[in-house]
Amino acid sequence: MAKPIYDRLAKLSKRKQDALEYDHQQHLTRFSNAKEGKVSEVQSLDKKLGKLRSKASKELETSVPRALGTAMEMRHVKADLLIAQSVLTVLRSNQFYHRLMVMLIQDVKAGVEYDPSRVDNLASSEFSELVEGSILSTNLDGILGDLRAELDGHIGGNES
Amino acid sequence: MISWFNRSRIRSYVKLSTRKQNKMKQEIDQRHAEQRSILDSRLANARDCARKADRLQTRGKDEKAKEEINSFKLELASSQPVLNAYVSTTLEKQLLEVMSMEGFEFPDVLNDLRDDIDYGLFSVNATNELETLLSAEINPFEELGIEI
Repeated sequence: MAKPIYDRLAKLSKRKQDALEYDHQQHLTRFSNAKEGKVSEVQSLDKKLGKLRSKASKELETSVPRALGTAMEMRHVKADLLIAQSVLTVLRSNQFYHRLMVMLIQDVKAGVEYDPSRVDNLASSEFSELVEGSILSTNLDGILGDLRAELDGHIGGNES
Repeated sequence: MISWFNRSRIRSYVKLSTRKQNKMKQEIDQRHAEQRSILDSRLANARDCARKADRLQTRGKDEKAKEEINSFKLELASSQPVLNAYVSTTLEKQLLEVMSMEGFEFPDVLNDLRDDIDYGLFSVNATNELETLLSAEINPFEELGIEI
């Protein structure tokens, strides 16, 4: 089992905690910006696919061959959409990781006991709309439960 | 562990010198551009066949229209392997771009907390699995109720 993150952070000197927080903050900004760009790309491709779908449906009423041509184009757009959604999951996981680290470092520095509900909120806002749009789905719901259990166990162990 | 991030080619990329990373990126960019160009050309040909079939059908030339539809099917079938290769190359190209970002972490860091995170197409194992998935997921004809 991995050594609890909270434990590792608490053992660092104040100077190292500050430096680590700064680094994670910079990375968080970088991945947040990249993620926003990718989200726009996904939205744009999704819109394009929707328009082609409507066009093909209308064409179907009068001419199957015409609808075939449009469906062929839909195929390519759908492929690009799947690629963009997959890359988005990687950007999101990196953004989430850096955000989580910033939050944990700040908590440790402030002497705050780990609050699982804060991590829950962080994850639900991060991944809520991602799952429904992904083909294979990006199920990250369980992360928080496990992380909480790990940290709760650690905190409980210290108290006892 | 996620399939794509298990590949030695991907894992070793971050350890390469900037010069070697750039070389690898250039090769992928070139392959990507070629595949895109072929794909666009097949798409244009297929749409052309579809338009011709529509025109011929309108004029009552059903046999000739049928020939054009057959040509369309041929373009469709021949574009599938290129589409599969294009998707694979684009995934790699975009992944390398993300990996070049400062602060990139392999998903292993999250896998320490949970090992069943799904990363879309990156979770797909081998090339044949990607092909199977794409042919199932990217089928607008079925979605529109058109039987090919």
